[in-house]
Amino acid sequence: MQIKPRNYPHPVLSHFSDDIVESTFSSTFGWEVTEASCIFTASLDTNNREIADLAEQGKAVYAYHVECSQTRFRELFRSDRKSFVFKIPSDKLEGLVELTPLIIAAERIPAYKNEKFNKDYEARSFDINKGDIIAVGQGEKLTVTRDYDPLKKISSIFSVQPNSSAAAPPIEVNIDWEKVVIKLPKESFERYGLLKKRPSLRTTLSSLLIVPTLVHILNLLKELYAEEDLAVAEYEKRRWFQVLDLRMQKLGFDIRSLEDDTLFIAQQIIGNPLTKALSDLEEFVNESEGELNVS
Amino acid sequence: MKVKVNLMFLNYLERNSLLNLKVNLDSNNKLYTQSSPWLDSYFNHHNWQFQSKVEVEDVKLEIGNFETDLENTKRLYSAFKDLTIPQASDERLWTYLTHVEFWKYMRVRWSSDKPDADVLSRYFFSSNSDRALIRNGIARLWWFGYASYDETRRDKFELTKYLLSTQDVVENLLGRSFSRNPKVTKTILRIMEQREKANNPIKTRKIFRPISEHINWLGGVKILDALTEEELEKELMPIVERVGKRYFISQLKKVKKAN
Repeated sequence: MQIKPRNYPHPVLSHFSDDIVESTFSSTFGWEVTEASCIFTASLDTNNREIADLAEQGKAVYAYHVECSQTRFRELFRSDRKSFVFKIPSDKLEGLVELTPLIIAAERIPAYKNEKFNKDYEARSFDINKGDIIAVGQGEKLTVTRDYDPLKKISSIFSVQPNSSAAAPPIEVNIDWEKVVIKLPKESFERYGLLKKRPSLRTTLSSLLIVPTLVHILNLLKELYAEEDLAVAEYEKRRWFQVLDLRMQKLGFDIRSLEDDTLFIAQQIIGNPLTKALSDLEEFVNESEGELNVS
Repeated sequence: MKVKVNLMFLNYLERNSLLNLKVNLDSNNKLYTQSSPWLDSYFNHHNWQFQSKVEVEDVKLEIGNFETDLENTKRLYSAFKDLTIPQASDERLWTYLTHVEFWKYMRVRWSSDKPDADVLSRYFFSSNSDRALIRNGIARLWWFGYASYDETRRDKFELTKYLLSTQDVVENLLGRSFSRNPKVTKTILRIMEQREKANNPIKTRKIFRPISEHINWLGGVKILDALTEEELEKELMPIVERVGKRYFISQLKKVKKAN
């Protein structure tokens, strides 16, 4: 559930409005995946006295709303405590998961008043019903990959495919699917298929195809995030994005805020293939010269 | 009397083969008009399919259009009921079924010959969100069953009848994120059932669409998931009545004008 900035029928404590002033609502969570479940440890807090009192009295609850579009999962987890743990069976979540921290009414609250209401509300009070949002925090996203293997090589998110079109360009990259698809004209694809059978040429092929593809993707993402283009949300749902994001985090890069040179980052992600490729090519040339000498 | 049930292991598409089909969809358009499955010859002996560990009852689908959706939902969901959520969300499985197992059904129900045919969304998953699950020609049958199947009823598919009363109801209900909560979906279907039985149906587009828009708006200010089914019904009934009344008045005005 993406909570977008909106006007509520009553004042709500949020980061996007000043309905309630001089007040904060903070949230953090940790999570781990076991074979049976995803376990979340949530911690919510507010410095607004009236809202904290409502929770203390059991009239409001702290909650996390969790949604996963890929598995059509949606549920609310609530507690009368600021810190709580909740579990979700691991087969209910896959891919992008959205979590929204909330404080919601647990029962009807007639004539709700708050010292920190914006002065525009003057001395008004509001009738709040069960389920109404009292405070909402910044939504968070995380990726749950069932078969995520930290040792999985980055090349698994790439797929080289033949391009059946008569006017196929030398190389075409498509990032609209779960993997990054690198399309080659039929002849090039067949050549690639033969060459990749030779172990000594694999890193060279990787440099030829994957590095420029990665640079292209990183440049595109850099631009989209800089312009806050909503189109990037579609890419975030893709498996290639999620795997890339995790790999970059391990290397100390933030995919949503790329500051370093993208060619440098791409080389780092693949494990600096250029050096190995040059060494492999040298070996390949020596082998070939050796074969010529023998014959 | 024991009824003999035929069991079979489901096959699924190899991942790169699935991608191959998707990225070359434009060039392969004509293949979707063929009368028989064609993946074997297309992939030319390459390992494009695998047998899964999922064992289900063999099932035949009724050939036809929207009028067959209810019967086919019952048949498919009953036969595939034990699919786990990860299995039921796996594009490789459903794409195999649309292209091979249920090809003849797909050719009629989602004919690619029509000018507005959407091969990508009906034969594959066109996106990574749950919208894809209710668009794919075979997956949708399973997910309709999953959303409306009620173990507590004598006829466990009783609510499915209301879900599939019109294409508009399906789109406006399951196309909204609030429907991901089965409690919310079933409450709405129960309200539809009550209204139908009171001879005051709400399934028509001009009524159901504004109702679902109102519920969507409500869900933005109130967490519907926090309510019990009874509380949900209390919350949603005034919306249904208000929209129904507005529609009734507008129809009366039309009649008066015509006279």
